[in-house]
Amino acid sequence: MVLVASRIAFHVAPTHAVVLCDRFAQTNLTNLTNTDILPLMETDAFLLPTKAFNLAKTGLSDVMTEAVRNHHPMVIDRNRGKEHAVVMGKAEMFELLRNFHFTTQTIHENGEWTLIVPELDLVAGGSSFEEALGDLTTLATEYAAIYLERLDFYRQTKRRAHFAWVMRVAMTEAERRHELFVEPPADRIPATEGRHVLAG
Amino acid sequence: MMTPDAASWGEIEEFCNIDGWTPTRTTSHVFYEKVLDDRDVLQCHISHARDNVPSPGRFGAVLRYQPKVTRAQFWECVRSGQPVKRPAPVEEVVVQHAAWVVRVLKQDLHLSDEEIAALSEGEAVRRAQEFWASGSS
Repeated sequence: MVLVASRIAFHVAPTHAVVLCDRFAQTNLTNLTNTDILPLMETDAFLLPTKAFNLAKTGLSDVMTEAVRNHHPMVIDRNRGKEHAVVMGKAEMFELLRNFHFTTQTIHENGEWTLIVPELDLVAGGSSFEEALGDLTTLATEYAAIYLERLDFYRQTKRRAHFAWVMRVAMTEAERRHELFVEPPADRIPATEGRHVLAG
Repeated sequence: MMTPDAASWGEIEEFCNIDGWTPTRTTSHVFYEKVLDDRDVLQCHISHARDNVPSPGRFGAVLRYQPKVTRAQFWECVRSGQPVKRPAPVEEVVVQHAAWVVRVLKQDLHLSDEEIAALSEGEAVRRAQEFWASGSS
């Protein structure tokens, strides 16, 4: 039975045959109808390993292990190709977002520091640089929360371009969030400098 | 017509009300929003301290990135009680240093606000990079 399962697996999706074999090894295929089998089979529409929803649901712990510990993002397929979700570890998410760098600019005038984040159209201020940075972090946090709460709306507007930057704010731990706005660009970061690297 | 360099937060809120904005959330600031025909969504964040007046630079940045209007259009809207006609032009904002540079100059090199203000943009970046290159971090 394992041999049959392996053949099916390699035919359908050679890149993740091991996952299929592990699953099919516990299943007597001869007792399954096509209706039973199809949701368990994996498609090769993407280069990423793809799991059918039912298979992912019953093996969620394995999906998490693959995504988080083995650093392999995985596609979950529901309704046979009609809906897809991607499961990935937080570390891989940060890698994707690394280049979405905030180019925060400053103005110091009349005893007030102003911080401007063009990527999110945010403007904050304070009587000291630190106070302005705190105000900016608060504003960005509130904006990100509102944006994600109303994502269905914003994704239909020009603010959909904010999504990746909002995700950087949302996925960065609260106590390190302010660092996002004072990060040097990648080509300015010294090799030994670790303080400015996004929390991951 | 005279256009003051900056408006109070109360006047900015008055502008939002005249220009047809909707308050969407009250948190540390009052969030106002206006949806334009071209699917742009303008957003403005009003301080609760309505009588406070931001610096001219901060006010200019607010106008540039949030209502996206000029100072003249802002004051004309407040004066006339009529919404701004869009698309509207915007004014460039004169910024000084990148925030990451200011952080190094203040936190690591302990420069005062006045010392930082006296540096050109290039000099400020050079000082920050020299600090890193020295391995002092």
